[in-house]
Amino acid sequence: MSKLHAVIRHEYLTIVRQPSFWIFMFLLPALMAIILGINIFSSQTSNDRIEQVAKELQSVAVVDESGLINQSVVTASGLTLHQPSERDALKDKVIAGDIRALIVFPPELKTTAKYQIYMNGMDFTTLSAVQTAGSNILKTSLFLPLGSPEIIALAQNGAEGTMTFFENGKETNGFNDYVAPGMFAVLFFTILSFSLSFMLTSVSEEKENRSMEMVLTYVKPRTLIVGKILGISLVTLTQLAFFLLLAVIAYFVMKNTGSLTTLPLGIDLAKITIDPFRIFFALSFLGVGFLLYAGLMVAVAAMAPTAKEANNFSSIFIVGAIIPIYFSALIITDPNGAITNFLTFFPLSSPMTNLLRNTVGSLDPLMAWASLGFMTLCMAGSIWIAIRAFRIGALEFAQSVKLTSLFRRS
Amino acid sequence: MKKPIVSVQNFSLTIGDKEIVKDLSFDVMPGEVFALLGANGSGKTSTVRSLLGIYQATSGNLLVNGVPLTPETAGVVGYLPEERGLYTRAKVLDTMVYFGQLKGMDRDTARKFSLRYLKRVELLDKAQLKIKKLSGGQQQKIQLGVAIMGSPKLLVLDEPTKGLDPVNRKLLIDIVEDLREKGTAVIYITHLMEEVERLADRLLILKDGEAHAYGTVAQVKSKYHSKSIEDIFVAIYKEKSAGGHYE
Repeated sequence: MSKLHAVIRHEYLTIVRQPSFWIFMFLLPALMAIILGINIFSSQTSNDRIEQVAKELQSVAVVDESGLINQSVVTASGLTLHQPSERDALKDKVIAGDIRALIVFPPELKTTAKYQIYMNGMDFTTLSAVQTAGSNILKTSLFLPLGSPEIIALAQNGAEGTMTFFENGKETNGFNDYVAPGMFAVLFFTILSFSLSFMLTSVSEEKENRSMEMVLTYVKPRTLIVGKILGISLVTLTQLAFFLLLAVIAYFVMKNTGSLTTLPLGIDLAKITIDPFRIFFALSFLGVGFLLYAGLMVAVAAMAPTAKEANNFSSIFIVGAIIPIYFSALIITDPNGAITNFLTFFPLSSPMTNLLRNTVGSLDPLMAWASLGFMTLCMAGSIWIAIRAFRIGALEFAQSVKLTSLFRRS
Repeated sequence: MKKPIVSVQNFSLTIGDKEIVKDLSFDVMPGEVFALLGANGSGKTSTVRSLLGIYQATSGNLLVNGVPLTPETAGVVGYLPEERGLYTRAKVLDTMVYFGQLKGMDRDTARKFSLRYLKRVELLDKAQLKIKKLSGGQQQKIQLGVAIMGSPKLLVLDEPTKGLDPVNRKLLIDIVEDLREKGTAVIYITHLMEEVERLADRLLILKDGEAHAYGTVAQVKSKYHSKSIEDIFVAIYKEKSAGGHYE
């Protein structure tokens, strides 16, 4: 037990004491904050520009030859409506730069659904504003006979649908049901992105720097592998705790500054569902999936002679793990289809597929148990291969271990 | 009569379809330096790995202190492998303490031993440095320190002076002699015959996995009518292989 404890401690401290670990931990959220900052800044700049454009719109003339445009709408928009006879003169003023733009609604507007914009200079923001103004003037003029401004606004903008879901004759909690199990899918993706590379590096570096033989004299391969897996699990927990803390801080900052009004898809944090069945399976798929991949990474690192080769070879497995994300629409919409079932039981794609299906509730208990059972078998196989590859390959410094030797040598 | 600390009886090792070691037997007594000699690929490292329980013997017995060595009982052994290295990104003291713990020592004892050793080899000021900041010779001193942690009863040194300058080579040999005086048995693998002449009490020459000469340095010299181990070694390797022959 004390040797296992020593291995766990060593693995954990070796990683978290690296400056690069903390640089990455801070860099990722900092990068996200910078992107958010750029968005806010560009949004602010856009607002300033829009105000400037609004002033420019006052020098935009409108000519109605269609008879569909209402003068009060044009005036309310800050533009000026002119007689059709003034069209050519106004066009010349645009060419000369005396006015910024001219919008002409032609007589055949009803049949062609096209109108003309003449503009001095190519300024995308102003052009966009003139186009929007022209479109709004037309729509509002057409909607005007409806009566009140509220009805006109409703006709123009539509309305937001509030969602209420039913299943098996009962009202459900909608997307709030997806949040808790969905977090486990996100967690698995995080583990795939970060922790498994630690596992790979831990074994391949130990092999490459030739400390492996001294370690194996005093520690059983199984103890070493278990110690590495547990140590790296602790590193993952540290990362998640750190990111969670940052997310909570960001949430409260955004809430208190009014930047956060509502969450997407009608998600309400107070209404998040905790379904023990789905949480149990999410946790199981996550744990078994992690062990399955940890075993594979150990095997790859033990069999490859250098860290670089191990890294290259491991990417094949990582692609297998994230393929379900590309098929997520199909997995959600066709839960009983052949591709979904293949991805559910194919060892490499099984963890992510099952986590996605569990999130959207398309796994019935029988399928969930069958998938979990099969995945557990694959995980046991992966650990067996890892220990076997480790015994054979850990001290093979010069060349790769052949796959066939895993099943041949004593 | 002293009991041997190492007892290898009729040991054979086959990996895949290759017979690495054939019917090898030898003993190592407490307090002696036992030189295990042979050309590259003769089976020395495989024999040591099997003795340490890293490889599984195909047949025969390899006993240390009367039992087969396992990671649980390996604390009595100090091992400096030929393919050796350390965690380059870890600090010197942390690395030594970690290996001490793997050998069954508690953290505090391992730390005290490490600091004492670092002082002896004049590396105390490097204790908090990362291994990669040390020179090759300094790293080898740390590796030797790791090997002798916990006062081992058996020390296995596979080409320990490879790459060392004369000053550090002398330091290493002094440490080995100190340990021998304290009763530690040393299996010493080397290609440098002057080290064998200087240090070894007994020796065994392996060729193609078979023993070709075994006994005290004087016995082997007498048997081969030669004053030099190097000449005997060369003579054995010039012979056509016809199986092991030693008394």
